[in-house]
Amino acid sequence: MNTGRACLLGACWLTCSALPLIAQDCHIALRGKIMEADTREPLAFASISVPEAGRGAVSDENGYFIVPNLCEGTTYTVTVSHLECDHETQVVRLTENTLLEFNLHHSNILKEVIVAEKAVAAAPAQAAVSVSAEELAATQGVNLGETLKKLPGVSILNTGATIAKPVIQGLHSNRIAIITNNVALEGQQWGAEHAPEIDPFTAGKISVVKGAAAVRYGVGAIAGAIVLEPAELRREAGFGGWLSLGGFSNGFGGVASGAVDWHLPGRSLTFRLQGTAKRSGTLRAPDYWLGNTAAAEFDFSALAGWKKNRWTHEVAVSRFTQRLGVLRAAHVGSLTELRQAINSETPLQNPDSFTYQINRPYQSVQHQVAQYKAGLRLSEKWKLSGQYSFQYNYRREYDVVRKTGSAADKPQISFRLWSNTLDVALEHFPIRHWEGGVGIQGIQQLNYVGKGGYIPDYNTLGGSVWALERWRRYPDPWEYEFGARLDYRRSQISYADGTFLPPGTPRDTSVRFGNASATGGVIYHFAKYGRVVLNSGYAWRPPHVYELFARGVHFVSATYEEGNRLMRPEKAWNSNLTLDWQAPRASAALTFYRNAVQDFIYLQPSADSVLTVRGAFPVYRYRQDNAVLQGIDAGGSLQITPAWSAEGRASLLRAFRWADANGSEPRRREWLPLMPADRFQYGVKWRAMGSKQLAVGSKQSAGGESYIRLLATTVLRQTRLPEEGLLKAAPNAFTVFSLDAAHTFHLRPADTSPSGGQMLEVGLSIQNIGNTRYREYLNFFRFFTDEPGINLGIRARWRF
Amino acid sequence: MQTNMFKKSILAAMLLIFAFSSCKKDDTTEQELITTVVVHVEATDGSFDQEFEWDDRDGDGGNAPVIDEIVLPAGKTFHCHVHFYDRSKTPEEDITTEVAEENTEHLLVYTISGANLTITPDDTDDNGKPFRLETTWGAGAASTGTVKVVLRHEPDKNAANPDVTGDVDVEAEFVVKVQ
Repeated sequence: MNTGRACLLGACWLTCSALPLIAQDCHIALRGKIMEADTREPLAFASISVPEAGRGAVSDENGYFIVPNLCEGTTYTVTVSHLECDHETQVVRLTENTLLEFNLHHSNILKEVIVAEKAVAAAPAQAAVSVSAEELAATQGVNLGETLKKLPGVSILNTGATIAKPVIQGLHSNRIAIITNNVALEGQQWGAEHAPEIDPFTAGKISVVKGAAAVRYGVGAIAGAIVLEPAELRREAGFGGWLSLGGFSNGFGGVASGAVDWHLPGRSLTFRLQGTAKRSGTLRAPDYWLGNTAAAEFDFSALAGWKKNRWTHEVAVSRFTQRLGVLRAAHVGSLTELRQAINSETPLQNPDSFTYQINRPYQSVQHQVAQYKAGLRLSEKWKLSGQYSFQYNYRREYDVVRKTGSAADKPQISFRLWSNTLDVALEHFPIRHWEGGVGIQGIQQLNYVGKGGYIPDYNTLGGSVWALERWRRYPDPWEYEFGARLDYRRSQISYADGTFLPPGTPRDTSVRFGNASATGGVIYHFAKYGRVVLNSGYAWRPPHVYELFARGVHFVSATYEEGNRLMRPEKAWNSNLTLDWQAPRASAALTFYRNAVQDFIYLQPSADSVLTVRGAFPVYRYRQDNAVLQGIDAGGSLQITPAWSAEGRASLLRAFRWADANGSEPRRREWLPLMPADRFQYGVKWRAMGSKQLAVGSKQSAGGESYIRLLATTVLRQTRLPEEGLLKAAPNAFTVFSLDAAHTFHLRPADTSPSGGQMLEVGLSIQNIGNTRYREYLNFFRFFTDEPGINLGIRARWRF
Repeated sequence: MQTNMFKKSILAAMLLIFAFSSCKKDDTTEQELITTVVVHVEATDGSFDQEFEWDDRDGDGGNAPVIDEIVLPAGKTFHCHVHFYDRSKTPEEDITTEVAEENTEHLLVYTISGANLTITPDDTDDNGKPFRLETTWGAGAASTGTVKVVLRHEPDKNAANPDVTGDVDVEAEFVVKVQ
């Protein structure tokens, strides 16, 4: 699993775009990037002022800024200032092809400012979307899946209202990588009902990379990656931090999260302590309580960074613990029961009342990460970095049992996974306009399931080597990226003593997989705000142990699932073309993608059934065929008046496999199951801005003083379903409305940089305003209950 | 030097927090398994006494279960007692005792199809509600069919039809021959 360590791509090229003349003289935008002179790190929250125009801007988290509507041929004084840096002033006369780059020097007193080493400095040359700062604030308190679901091309796979997994362009689980603070999450991601073990509060930025991303993010990322980066550690001496509180009416839930940053005065050591606590009770659908959907979560993380001479160091630990109630009505022991439940309009066996208690069935999940990163600057151009990470994942599932007494405290199944990864990378800043690096990675994993498990125990060893380079010469509108990677994995499989095995199954066996990945991307910059991004990548994924060796009844779907030991790796050839336009008043992004997966692994219903003591279950076998997933993701926003803007997003996907050519029959297309239905989102937003802030695109909107947004989500009925194995027709199309509003108070206004001031943001959100009854095709529990009803949320975040 | 000490202590503190947070480990899981259903049929006149088994001791999947055919003499009345075992363990575990003790939380349901057989309850639970671990079977004229024995857990015995409530713990189907 590559940790996304790669290559500081494009960190240094200027982004101040060409400024061609258009008919009107005063519609030129000044674009630029602000970087710390020594480290070449982007500087966020730097103030840019243009006194002649009476306007200014604030740089975003990547150091970018834009001052729109400047006049051609006029002389402007551009002053850039940042709390910890010297001011820098430059006089510019805007014409075509004017360049602007600011390298700020830290003032003498703060020579030893900590800069946490950033792993990925530039967005990959492929389709990518980020959760805006405003969206991140608006979704605080919900899980990772919910946080991401408004992004085009991203949907969520639910197991009831409490368990949500992100889906990128139709694929999820082991086909995407989740990277937090440069470490690939190694949990029990193979299960559709295993939610990612992530606290979104730890992230300062969340982005989703769509398409084959294996070169950067490691084997398995054949559909994309979700990248969470913590906010940078404090650079200036002193205290800072935030406290966040939220409450939700549905489930009467509460969440509290806070962080303290401390940079020791006169020293280079800076650190952060962060924690989150969440508790919620039974959720409610419009007509009934969703019995046993209470949840509790407690997370903690700590980061520390320091710098000495040419070395930078960072240490981080985090711990995630969660207990999730699983809808009682979804507990079915036999096919008969499942049929009964499906045919019932209302959930059966449903404790129809509110409680904070988490009863069986429930999941208890624990995830811990410890990591150490170090960077060594070898020369002006070269940098060596290394990272070691340890992860421990402990997952326990408690089923409904007849037993009472001591056995009643024990889980019915448990998984424990230990992972060790080591990364070393050699990276360089531009040499003849090429920037990039090479690296190696080693991983060791031990998974312990124990007796009677659905999958056997395994011990995996793996190694990778990669290289990634990017070319950019400003103002050349073309930009190129190339990368390649080799991976090898070996897993030793063993069944615990006492596990019943079918005749002929060896108790110990090993599987080996190795393959190459590659990526190539081209970006063409045009006009002032436009970009065309074309990316093509080849990625692969070794079959997971569950796809090879699974054997057992999967109760949610009442199927008996059987792996296939002879499975080949999945190979994906993914191409995507993105048209991107980011102007101050209008922005749009349109992505076309096609993911052709060779030997796509899926569950195929068969005519066989397995007779158990709970009756007969249909047998589903893991099989593979070639599959194609193709579609369109679109999103855009338009500012109609200074206060009003409209936005819209659409995600369309067609996914099928080529069914076997059967004798004389030609091969035919068969739709893939559980693919997101066509989804549209559209809304209007009203915003009142403070005098100091200036909206730059949509990314800078967090600076707005207050806003109200009304959003509608329409999901069509999924009509593209495989012929066999349908237990219940896909649910009908639905439209739900949500509202979101926030106001920001500047308690102690910062003169130049918002990070220096005190801010209080209060917000209100209402999900499912109409208390609409609906069911989602991508929710396994659609058989049993409706989705949750109206949910009113309030939140406050205090930054100090 | 002082800086170093400080750094080290911070690091140590963090590692400690981490170490403490990760020590409790509950190794064991408790799998609940019923592998075997025994239907013990005794004629009231003492002329017939036999046990019929539905047995799948390797659990779900693997080898197919071994199921006895229930053969009953026509025109007689029987007393029937159902037993549940976990025979994946040695020695086998008798789950019947537990089911009988928690009789208010369990319910047996019998579905007859094709065979000329009637089943009437012989017992009630501690609240006087149906339980049906013990039943009376009446065999009519010669015929062949099936009888399905279902054990339900946590049924709603106050429901209009309690036979369809609760979780299915056992659903064992026998071929039954009245001759």
